[in-house]
Amino acid sequence: MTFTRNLCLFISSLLAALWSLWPIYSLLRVSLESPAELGAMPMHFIPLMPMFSSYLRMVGFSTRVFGQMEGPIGIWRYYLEGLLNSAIVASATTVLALFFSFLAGYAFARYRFRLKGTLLGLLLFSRTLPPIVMLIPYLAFFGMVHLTGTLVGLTLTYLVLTVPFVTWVLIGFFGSLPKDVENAARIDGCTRVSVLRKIILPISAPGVASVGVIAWLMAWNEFIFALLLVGGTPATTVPPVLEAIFVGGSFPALDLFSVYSSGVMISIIPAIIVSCVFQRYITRLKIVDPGAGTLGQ
Amino acid sequence: MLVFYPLAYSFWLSLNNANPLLGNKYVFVGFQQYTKTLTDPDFYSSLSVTLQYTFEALIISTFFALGLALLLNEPMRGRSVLRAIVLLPWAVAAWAAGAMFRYVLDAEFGTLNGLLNALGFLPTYVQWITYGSAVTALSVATSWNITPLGAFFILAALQTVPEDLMKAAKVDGAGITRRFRYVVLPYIRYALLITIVVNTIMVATSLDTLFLLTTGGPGTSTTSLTFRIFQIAYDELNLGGAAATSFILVAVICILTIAYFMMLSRVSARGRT
Repeated sequence: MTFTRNLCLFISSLLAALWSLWPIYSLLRVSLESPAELGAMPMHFIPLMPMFSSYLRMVGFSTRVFGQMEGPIGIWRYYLEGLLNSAIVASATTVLALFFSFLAGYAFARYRFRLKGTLLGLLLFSRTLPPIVMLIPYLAFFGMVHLTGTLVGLTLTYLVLTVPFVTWVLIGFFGSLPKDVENAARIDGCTRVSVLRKIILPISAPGVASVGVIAWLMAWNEFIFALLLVGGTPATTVPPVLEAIFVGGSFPALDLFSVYSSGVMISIIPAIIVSCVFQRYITRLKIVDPGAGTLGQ
Repeated sequence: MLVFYPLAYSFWLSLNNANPLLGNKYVFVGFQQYTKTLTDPDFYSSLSVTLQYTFEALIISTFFALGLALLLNEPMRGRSVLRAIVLLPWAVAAWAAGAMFRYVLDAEFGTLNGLLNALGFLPTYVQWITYGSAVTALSVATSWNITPLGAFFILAALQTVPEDLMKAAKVDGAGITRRFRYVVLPYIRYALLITIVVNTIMVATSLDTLFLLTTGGPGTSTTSLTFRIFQIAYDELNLGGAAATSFILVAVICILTIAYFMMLSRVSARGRT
């Protein structure tokens, strides 16, 4: 009985791991194999000679490929700038979103005020909107005020995507904190602001930090806003650079497939780190987010 | 404010004839954009793509989410490793998922062909993304991306099922299907519904995976409503038409969501009597 059970569990675990890892493996394989190996039939599952040179050429180094010196690919400068811009935008979005949502979430969780129910409903409703619906007005509006092609503009739009989500999670989080400590602090003469700073902030730090990580990842992974608002400009983030390779223009020469794939691999490294660290907390965090429109996108 | 200003602005746009190339002069045309959209044959073909895409991806991702959650709920060695692996697709960007599935499904050097060939199922390589199958391929790619979220919703609910109840049911001689139906299901029904609603919204509004995997093609076989909105706004530069189409998409999503909640309330009402 236990043997059969263990065997079943083992096989299903194997299948689950296969399902989750196969696409990532497919990409990794392309990034490491030479064009000749890619076309081999039967397929080479493990590259005979891993070509780490693809990664080097993507980030701007010249290396020796099969005895020949090959320079970095044409877009390496955009790619590196894209990585930097992505990191800047994601970090700025996280800090600002946490600041606003921290205050808003606390207010929603602790105070009663007019239209509270309506505002909560609107907050939820905004999560069911397709991102592209929000994008159209920004396209029209940013053109007028000259914010297209700037990191500031992109960060502003990312706040629209992240603030409702972060606020929603934090409302639930603050609701679960004990009120007694706050009341005691108020009696001892703390102002409301110092209650927030000296009591709420320290005890909610772990929760706030984990929501912050998700917000960072949402901004890092965002694609369509970046494509239309900053794509092709010096303020571009990573996704538009790679999109231009895969979709726009002519089909790339076969030997560049590996290089481009290494670009995608580099850009998902944060995702891999986050999921390894997060598996511990994910069921505890209670991200019951009805309408997680862009979560993980 | 950040959210509702653009929304109102978008609605205003949808009533206008706005073309960014002609400057910022908007011409008020009332509901003309809506009537134009609703009489456009392209609109109906992309609506049916969206519906098929949503339906297929929903079925795949919900079953996989349930299966993965049940698996992760079993006590076993290496569970935290498996949990990290299963969570991984959630953290990967949707556009990156599209790029990855290109290399899974590619006819020449895709790994799916390679694997099936090595196992002896497939003597020659197959073109997976064709006019007829592109939506299904897209559904699989999207499901890969969104399944973990649902799996962890359901897993959180599964952990609330009291162990005594499971033991009692076992002692009473309930088989595994009956145990699932009468003991587990009532506890996870809410999580399951949330998963379905969230997944529906995510698929119906998704664009990134599609963009990198098929870019609306072959032909117009994967031109979903979201991609159609993108085309109207970006290629035809008709912001008003794009805004109108997007409001119709929001209406479709609202109808689907309301339908789920009505189904749920009926199911739970029947359960009580």
